Amino acid sequence: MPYSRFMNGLIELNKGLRMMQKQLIKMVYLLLLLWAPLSAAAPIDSLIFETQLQEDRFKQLVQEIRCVKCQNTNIAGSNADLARDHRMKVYEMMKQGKSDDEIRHWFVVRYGDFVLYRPQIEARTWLLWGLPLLLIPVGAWLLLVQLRRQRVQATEEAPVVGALSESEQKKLDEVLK
Amino acid sequence: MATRSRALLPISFVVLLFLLLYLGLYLNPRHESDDSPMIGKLAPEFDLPDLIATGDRFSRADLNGQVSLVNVWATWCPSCRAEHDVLMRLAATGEVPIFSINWTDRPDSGGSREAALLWLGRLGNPYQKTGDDGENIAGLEWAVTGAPETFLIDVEGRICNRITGPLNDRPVPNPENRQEVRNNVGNIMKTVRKMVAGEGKCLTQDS
Repeated sequence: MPYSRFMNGLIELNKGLRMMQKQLIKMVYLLLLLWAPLSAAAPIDSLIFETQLQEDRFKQLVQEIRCVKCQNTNIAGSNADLARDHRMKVYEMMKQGKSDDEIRHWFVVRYGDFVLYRPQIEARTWLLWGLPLLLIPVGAWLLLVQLRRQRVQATEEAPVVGALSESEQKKLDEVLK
Repeated sequence: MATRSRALLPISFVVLLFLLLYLGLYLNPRHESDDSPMIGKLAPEFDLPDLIATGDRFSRADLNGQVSLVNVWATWCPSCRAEHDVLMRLAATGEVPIFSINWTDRPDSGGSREAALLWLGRLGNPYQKTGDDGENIAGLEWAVTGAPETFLIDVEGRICNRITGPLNDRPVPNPENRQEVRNNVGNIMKTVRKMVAGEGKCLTQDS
């Protein structure tokens, strides 16, 4: 019964595809659900800024500072009371004319380096920041060595370039027919 | 032979990587995740209205000249309720003065000054003095991240330790539970007694 086996196979395949489709739709819904809090998570403070530049600075800073109450988010994305107090503190310090670094410093002396999502560049963090830069020349060197080796190999084993032999041509014609 | 030596480099690299991973995971970290950079520094300046005695203040100056505890609590905080009985028992021994900051007991957190007064009236008051920090002003200076939190202060007003979470006075804290050991009043009092027996200064890490 090769025909019914074939049909069974098709039915199974169809089932499988439908399952996959369902899974896919579920995934899309899940992604939408995960996305929703991100777009809705901008807590509302009615703060007034004199210039757009100040507002941008504020937005940048609250993105960078970790919420110490709910440690996997920044103070921009947290509704915790403490995060709100911290946002207000950032705002207040900006009003006092403090620089971004001074504001970051205010947080670091109280809560530690951990409070900044972007580690500062200092003596203790040069390796963290510098390693990628150090790895670029290393990678370039490895690439160069490899390329040179390949070139040497290529010249040593002279490649077969040229017209096809008669039998090879025949074979090719056969295949391309 | 050539292939073997070529494989050696990536393999040793991976082994090294796993070694680092192991060290990172299994070495007992000197710094706990809730270690604060405030430890070892002088307690920050603050000046709060006294919760109970109107017109009185609780300020930085109250902490000079003695080894003391500063407890941060709020009425909306269930672990503070659990801790309160422990603090009452500790206060009854009279061994160490306990001060407190009543932290963010404000309506939008589910508390209030009245609730705080009622709390102390009903459950007893283990504190020498309590500052009313409804607006989280001193809290930000002390880098409070949640309630309850307890600071151990030395004779010079320096922060020796910061203990997050509720204190307990179990006779034998579960050695598997790091927080229970750290937050055990028996253990804290051992440190306090050592400090008082000396000059009242914070103990260094190794003593």
